[in-house]
Amino acid sequence: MIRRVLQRHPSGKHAGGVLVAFAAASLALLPPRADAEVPVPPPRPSLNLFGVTGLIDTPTAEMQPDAQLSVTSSWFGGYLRNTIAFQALPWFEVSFRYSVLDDLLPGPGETTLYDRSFDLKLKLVEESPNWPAVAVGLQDFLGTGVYSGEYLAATKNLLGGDLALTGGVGWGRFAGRSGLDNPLCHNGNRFCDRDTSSGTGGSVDFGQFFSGEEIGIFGGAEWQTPVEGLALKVEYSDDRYSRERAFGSFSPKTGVNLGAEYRPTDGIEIGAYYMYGTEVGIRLSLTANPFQPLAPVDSEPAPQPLSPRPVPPGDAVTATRFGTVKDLVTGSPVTTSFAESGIAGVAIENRGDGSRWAIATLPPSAGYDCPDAAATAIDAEFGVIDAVSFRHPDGKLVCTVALRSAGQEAIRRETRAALRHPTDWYADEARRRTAVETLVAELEPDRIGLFGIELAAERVTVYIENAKFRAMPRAIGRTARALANTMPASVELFEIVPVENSLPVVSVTLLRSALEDTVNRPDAAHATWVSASVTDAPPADWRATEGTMEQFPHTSWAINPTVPVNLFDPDQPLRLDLAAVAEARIELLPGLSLNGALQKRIVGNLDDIEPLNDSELPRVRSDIARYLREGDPSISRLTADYVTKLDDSLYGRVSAGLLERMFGGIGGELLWQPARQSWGLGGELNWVQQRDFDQLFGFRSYDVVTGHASLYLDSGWHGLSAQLDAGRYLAGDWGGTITLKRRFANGWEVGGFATFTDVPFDEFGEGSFDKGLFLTIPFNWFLPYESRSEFTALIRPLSRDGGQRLVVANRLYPVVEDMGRAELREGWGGFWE
Amino acid sequence: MSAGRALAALAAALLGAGCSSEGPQDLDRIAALAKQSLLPAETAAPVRELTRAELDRIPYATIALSFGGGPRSFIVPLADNGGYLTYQDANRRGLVMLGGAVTGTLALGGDLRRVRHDRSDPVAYPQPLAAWPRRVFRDYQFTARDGADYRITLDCAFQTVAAETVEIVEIAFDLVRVSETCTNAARQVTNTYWIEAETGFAWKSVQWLGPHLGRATIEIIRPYGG
Repeated sequence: MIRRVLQRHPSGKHAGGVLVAFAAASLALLPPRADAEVPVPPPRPSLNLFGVTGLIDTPTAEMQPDAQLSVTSSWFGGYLRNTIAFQALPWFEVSFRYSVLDDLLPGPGETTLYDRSFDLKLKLVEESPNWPAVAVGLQDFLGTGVYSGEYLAATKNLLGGDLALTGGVGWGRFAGRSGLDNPLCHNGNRFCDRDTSSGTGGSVDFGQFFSGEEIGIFGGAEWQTPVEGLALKVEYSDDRYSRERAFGSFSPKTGVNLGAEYRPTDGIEIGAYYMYGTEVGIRLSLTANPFQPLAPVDSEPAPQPLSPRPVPPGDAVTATRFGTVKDLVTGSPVTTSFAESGIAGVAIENRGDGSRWAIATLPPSAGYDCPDAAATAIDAEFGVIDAVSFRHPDGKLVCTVALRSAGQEAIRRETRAALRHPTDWYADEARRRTAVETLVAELEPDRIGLFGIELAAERVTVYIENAKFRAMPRAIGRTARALANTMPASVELFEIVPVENSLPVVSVTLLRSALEDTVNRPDAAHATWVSASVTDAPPADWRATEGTMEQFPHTSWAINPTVPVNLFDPDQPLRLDLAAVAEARIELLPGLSLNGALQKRIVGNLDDIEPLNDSELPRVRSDIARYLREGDPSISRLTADYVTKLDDSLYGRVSAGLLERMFGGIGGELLWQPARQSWGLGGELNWVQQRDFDQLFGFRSYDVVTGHASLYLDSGWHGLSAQLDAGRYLAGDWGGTITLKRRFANGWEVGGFATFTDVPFDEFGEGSFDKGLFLTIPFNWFLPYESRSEFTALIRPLSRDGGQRLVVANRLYPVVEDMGRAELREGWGGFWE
Repeated sequence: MSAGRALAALAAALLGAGCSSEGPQDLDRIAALAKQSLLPAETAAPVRELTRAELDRIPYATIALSFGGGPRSFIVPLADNGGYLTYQDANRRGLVMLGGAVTGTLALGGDLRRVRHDRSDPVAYPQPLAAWPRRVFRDYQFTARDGADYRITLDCAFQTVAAETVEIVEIAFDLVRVSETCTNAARQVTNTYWIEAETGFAWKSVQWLGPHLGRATIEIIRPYGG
């Protein structure tokens, strides 16, 4: 508390006070700005046949709305392009493409080229009324280079966005017809040469960028017709399709392409095109945005109302702390000046709850009537006073006048907090038990389980298991309401500890009186966050926690269908199975469990995969074909696991058994991740032996010690987080993995990883190094109910033996990842919902 | 059954094949949703409005809530949080009111989260009609579909229209109709209140609840504390 005593200035005015009072009065006269409105989603430009933002076969400088994710399939002239594009940042678009290109390999034999490629595009200049958007892009910069090219493009929207004009200049694939000299090429420097042959892919040849003897130009227009959703496009492409022409598979007659596109709904684009004067092209794009859920909102039952504890009228607490309470919040005019009010002295207090109080001392001649008018005079003199307490020189508190809502709230809050409720119930075991049973019943409709409770006369700690709400703040909020409705009146302090996998991760402490004073009021979530304390939960002594040990041993099981998928095999780019997975779990004690999973194929063709025989490394993953063929049914997991909290922010795990489909053994992990910290450290060490192909209980001869040190970093910027792992991989190779992902408050995750080890690129084989993309979509993004389930997809262009990490089902970081202070704050808006 | 429906039914059956010791899982719920979307909904029996005599048997304060001339729902307050009354039905749907103002809706879809009223706002803090200010500001708070909060701030001006006799479930009240026009740069909405001139108590109102819910009619069957 900051206390500053201001005595009356001889002139009756305090100079600083005059300025503050003037400013306060001016602010009070100003109306609030009435321009806040519903946020309007940004316009979504169309995609091209490459599946990136563009015209028909050329790009534009436009970008998709932030975080837009699109999947595109297009076809023309025997070329099928399948692209996943993601607007990773408002100014950065990335995409991965898998193309099936007929007649693009020399015969005899297979002439179809199955090509994987990556693109990226950076916005350099934002479009403005007088200036077009400008972007630079790299196409197929990480692949075999079949579509390799770079470009600079500019796009300007006209006619209120109905007409978009694009012009650009390009290198590589974007150059061909124009025959313009590359301005970067002179005297035979490196920009004059461009290698157009394709290798094994997977490496970036920075020397190729913007090189070649020639550059090309491209451009075109897109017109949004008056027909809703229908757009017409025309473009000029400089691409001569030289390679295709050389194989005789496609010979463009002109560089002009025409197209019509239609959006039947917001998430679907279909297009038809006349390409290069010879071919017809088609495109289908499906697109979604994490910021625009498909599921309706607020379809779940609302929380139970919070019933406040009764406050006795004319309570003695109020009289003692505030004297008579008066309310001038409606805004009474200033009727007397501070100088004329006769106030002897004023002390200003800036209180911890943000309110600003004045403690005024009345002159000795004053009586005990509340001088309301002096309160407004003090407000005008000292500026923005929320409440004034008047004290008689004899020490008696005469009255307190609330001048602003903050003052009212502070009076209410202090009154509630100071109330003394009887605690005799605590001595009665039956009443304690009833309180706990009532709480359990109150939590049950929201599928919040009570893992344990520590109940005292004036405080309660509850350990909760949230089985329903994706956002933990919502489960915490529902628990807080349930506590307020069920705990005896003397329980003022609520400590709520979410428990994940028997680990108490974080502790949220709330004052019951603050909850009672905040619920239903404007900005309630913010006010609650400000008054809450979020810290690491200390390790729990479950034996001393009421109700916990009675829940053990606990058995659970589930049988579910699953659809494992294999992509990008040249023999068959898409293979899949429909299988059933039976899982069982026995929790013997908190943190100690036995886990098993059995998988049986029902139908599918994953067992058709041809074994890979060119690996020079220990075959830690490349025998996948034999595992799939010989392992049905298979034990995909059979482990004993122990997880525990070693210190407030230190977690530990030990696992032993059949850890994953291909390896079994023993391993341990430590994670240090304070709740208030944006980064954490982890370490993992395993000894594992390769399992037999039948995936039952036998082992092969290969064994390895594998492990990693990990750094986890949440940047706090656009939800970007990074993970750096360094250590030894399954094939005995040493190296590191970098994982970058963007996480959204609603549970979406989009990211990618790349692993570089001491295995040379040519020894690694096709793809040069291990890399992949992953996507997580929470169920409640597209289904109209709350769920913690999520859909996860991992796309690995190629699975080889280098850079392969052990698959562990219960690593620690994912358990705590959503429970940091920053993550809770991000989702705190749902606390009261 | 069409091929599409058959396919959807097969998908639903497949999804519904999951089961667990923890009761219904996501797959069960997805299957139920798929089935729900395939089979025609049962026609609901027409709702019979309660009579005043029946309403009088409810021993609590009661309000009637209706949308677009639809049937009234009668709900009672379950909590009083410093004047904010939470009215909820058995399905935990309802609204929150402060004075005569709706300050929140509960599980109605696209809910109004909160409203910040001026302390001088006579709808939230009733006062005699003669003392009503000419205009007030309101801050309507919502949550966007992505979970982010947003606000719609409106500048509201009152206009007394006429004295009228209003019937609320068989009882006639002599009230004053006050029209309120709320505007900002992007929208204009109109609220109507039928108030008791002496107290400013709103017996009936038609209020805007947000861009998703539109306007609702609230009638006081039995006032809280009355």
